[in-house]
Amino acid sequence: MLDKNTVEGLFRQHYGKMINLACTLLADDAEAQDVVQDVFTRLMRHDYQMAADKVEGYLMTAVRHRCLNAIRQKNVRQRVKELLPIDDTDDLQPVEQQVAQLEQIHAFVDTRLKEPYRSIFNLRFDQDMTLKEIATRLGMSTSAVYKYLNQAIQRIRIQFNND
Amino acid sequence: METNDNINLLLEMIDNPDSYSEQEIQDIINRDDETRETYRQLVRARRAGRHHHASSRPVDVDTAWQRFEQGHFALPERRNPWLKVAAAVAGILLLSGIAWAASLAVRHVVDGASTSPVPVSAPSPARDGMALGQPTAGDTNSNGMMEVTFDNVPLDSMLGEIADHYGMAVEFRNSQARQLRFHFVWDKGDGLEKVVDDINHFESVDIEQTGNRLIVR
Repeated sequence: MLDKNTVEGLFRQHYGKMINLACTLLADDAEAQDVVQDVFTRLMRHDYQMAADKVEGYLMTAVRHRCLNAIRQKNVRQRVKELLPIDDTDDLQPVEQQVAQLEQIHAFVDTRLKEPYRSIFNLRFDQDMTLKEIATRLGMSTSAVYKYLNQAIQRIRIQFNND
Repeated sequence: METNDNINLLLEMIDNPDSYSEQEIQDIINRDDETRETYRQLVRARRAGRHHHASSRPVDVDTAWQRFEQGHFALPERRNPWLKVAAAVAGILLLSGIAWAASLAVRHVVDGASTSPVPVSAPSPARDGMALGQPTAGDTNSNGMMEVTFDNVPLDSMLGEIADHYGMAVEFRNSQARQLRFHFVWDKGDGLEKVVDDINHFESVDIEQTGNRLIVR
């Protein structure tokens, strides 16, 4: 079992990146905090030595595994409400690659999408508004919001096609 | 045209998931490849938004560490002297109880017709003080690998820890199995196949290893 000083050192060094990943993969920050606490609880009980350069990779992978398990415990409706994946396609990529792609998507929206695509996209995915709420906010019909959002999504799909 | 309709239906559904059954939700997402891939893209888009928010706000490591510390390590002694007194009384009662239990055990052996009393170990206070439901690090085995004892631990937690060690994911297809509790000694030196086989000896559990997953049925 790791001693308190070692655990605290690792906690303070890696917590930021771990909570960032957990908050990215899960919709609920409290749930994300529980995941990271749980990963450190398991780490604390480890008795074997780990090379210093392997620790971050281990912790980040462990966070993702715990997040995936938390997602799998939700039914499909709950996943859709929180816009969580219903399969593991993306989560089989290396963590760094997955996070880099999310950053690229955000940058693409900020720099390459024009109005009203960008505002609609940000209101839906940054502020988690429904399409009806967005239509009211922007003074558009709901069907126009559907059309703009669909086109924005398809542009991003083409840009970041994984297939 | 049909794909556009499917995607519009998808967008409508994610705005109002409570209006659809689980099966209808599945059907809408999986109606065709385009719709399924669009849902994946919606998930990426939402995650990109969450990642941006998470990256741009300060992280409160101190509060998080304090929470962890309180849950796992004894905190520095409190100032309240009454707590010290209470702890001392509890300690005396605990030791008295152990001594009383040991004397009873010795007496029982003596009364049991043996002329030479057999020493009976008093229960270890540390062991008895262990909270149920917490796995504990145990002794090393002959290979120098640590054994972990899960004492009254839900399968959900136990299997999660084991799966992490072997780099596996866990999928519960039988949700009732999550809360089954076990006493299980896990030798970390054992291969995954043996560990799964050992757990499957419990009557109520059926775990199958498929690829990088442990599926609980």
